[in-house]
Amino acid sequence: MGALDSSPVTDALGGRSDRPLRWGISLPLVAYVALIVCVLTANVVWLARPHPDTGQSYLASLYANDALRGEIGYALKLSMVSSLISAIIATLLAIPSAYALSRLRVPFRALIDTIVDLPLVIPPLIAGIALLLFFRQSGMGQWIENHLLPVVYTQQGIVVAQFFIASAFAIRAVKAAFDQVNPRFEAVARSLGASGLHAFVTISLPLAKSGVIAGFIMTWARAIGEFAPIMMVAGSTPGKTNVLPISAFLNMSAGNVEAAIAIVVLMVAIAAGTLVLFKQLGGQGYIW
Amino acid sequence: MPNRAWIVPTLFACGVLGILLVGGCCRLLPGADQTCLLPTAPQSATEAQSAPAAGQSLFLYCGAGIRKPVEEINALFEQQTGVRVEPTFTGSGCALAQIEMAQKGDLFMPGEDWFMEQAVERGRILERRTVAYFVPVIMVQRGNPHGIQELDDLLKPGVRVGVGEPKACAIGHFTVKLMELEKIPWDELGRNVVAHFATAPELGNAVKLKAVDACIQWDSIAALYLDDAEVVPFAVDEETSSAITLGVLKTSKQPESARSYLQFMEGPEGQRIFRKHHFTLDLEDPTFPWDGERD
Repeated sequence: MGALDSSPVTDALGGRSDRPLRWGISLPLVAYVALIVCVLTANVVWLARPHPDTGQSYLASLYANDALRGEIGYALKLSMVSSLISAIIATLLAIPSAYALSRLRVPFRALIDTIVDLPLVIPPLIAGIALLLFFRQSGMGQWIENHLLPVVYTQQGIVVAQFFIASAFAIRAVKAAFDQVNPRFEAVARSLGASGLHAFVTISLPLAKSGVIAGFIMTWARAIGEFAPIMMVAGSTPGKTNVLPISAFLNMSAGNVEAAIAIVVLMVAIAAGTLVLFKQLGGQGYIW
Repeated sequence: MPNRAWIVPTLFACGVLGILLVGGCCRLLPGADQTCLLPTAPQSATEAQSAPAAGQSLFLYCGAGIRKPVEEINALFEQQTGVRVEPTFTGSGCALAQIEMAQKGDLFMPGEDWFMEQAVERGRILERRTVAYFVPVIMVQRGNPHGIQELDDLLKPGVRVGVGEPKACAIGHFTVKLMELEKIPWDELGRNVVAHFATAPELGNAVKLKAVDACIQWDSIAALYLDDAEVVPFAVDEETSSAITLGVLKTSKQPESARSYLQFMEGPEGQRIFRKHHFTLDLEDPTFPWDGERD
């Protein structure tokens, strides 16, 4: 309980003996953390169990399968490359957009703010169908497909699907960072003769830096876990558009549950690393 | 002053647009068409060694449960004809939605004929052929702990049964039909049903993960799980089995190549590969009872 004693929550409760309250509020947390750890451990233990006929661990036989290793390796690379591109574009879009939402008296602000949230609310599969419909059935989408960038059933489609959903995350996270920067700093800089751009670049952006980076990492993590919209827009073609979640789905559909679970464990490891990085950069409590 | 504040967002928006345009230029790079991020990986050793594609490529919407034979057939077809078949493996319902929305692609091979019927009704299919069959069997956990020997045994107290959702997949649709034919009241089975599943592989996974004790399953899907499950076959006929069909889509820009793929799949080499993956090719000679031969 040492860690609990030094936490701000127990400090706020005062120094007297309030053990029942401490236990009362920490038990649900401990139970939930234990549940998550148990679920993940069960997955790893299940993967490591021996095959009933050969006695070899499933994990070892998965690793020994060259074709599967190749497929997962390709999926990992494709996931990394595509999600990084999506996260960079989403963050570049999010910085001005979030700054506008945070600082400017944008007309129909409430409406725009709501529209930004929509990709997070729409069920992912439906978002995928909506994107497919846009690119293949609407005049504007067809023009983009024919003249700018072929999207449907291509690798670019992966980035478009990830970007569509993840940008909403980026804008939310970066806006939260700008909201925490006191506008007075900019006002002071401008009263001393700095231009709006100069004040933004030298004052607001550096002050919001860790929030922006944390937003970027969360956006990237969201993009790497994207599944249904990618399946609908880019297709799930092994060796071409099989990002990690699609590889998990393909293996699950072909009865290879062990491979699917191995991919899930790999993704959890990536997510855990991302979240640690996010928290190191001061991301906790920033988003909503 | 507020007007000047728009400069920053505008500059960034221009930057983003620039990046998108650069992305757009990807397709102008030689050989980079549709593969901007990573070069497409060869799907098998055979394919990697084959001669360069004759330039044609067919796009196939395929049920995810039949990936294994289809990938093997594709590699062989490319090796022999130089025509590359690019499959997208999804749930058959998703594939149907994609066909409807994308208006693009050459071939459709749903996991279950029920979806092909819908594609035909919507006027999407130029031509179709039956290439194999799905035959229903009872799939139980390894060791058959509940001693299930026939359909009636699914009604035994304490047997946790999983069924396909009748509205979502043909195995569910067929389970209802089968119960009617066998005069087993649906409500009586319903007492033991603990979950409905959207696809046949999900049913298999549920037995494998011990979430259910038994289910009605397609034979070749059940064959994927023989390490962790057992199969109890029962007598079937045409009415209680489902044809696996391959159709040429009306949107195909290379219908001749698509037709030759169709002929290849129903020809001796395609059939050999389906058989190797435990698909029933002739209802008189179903995959189960198992003859002991495996890969």
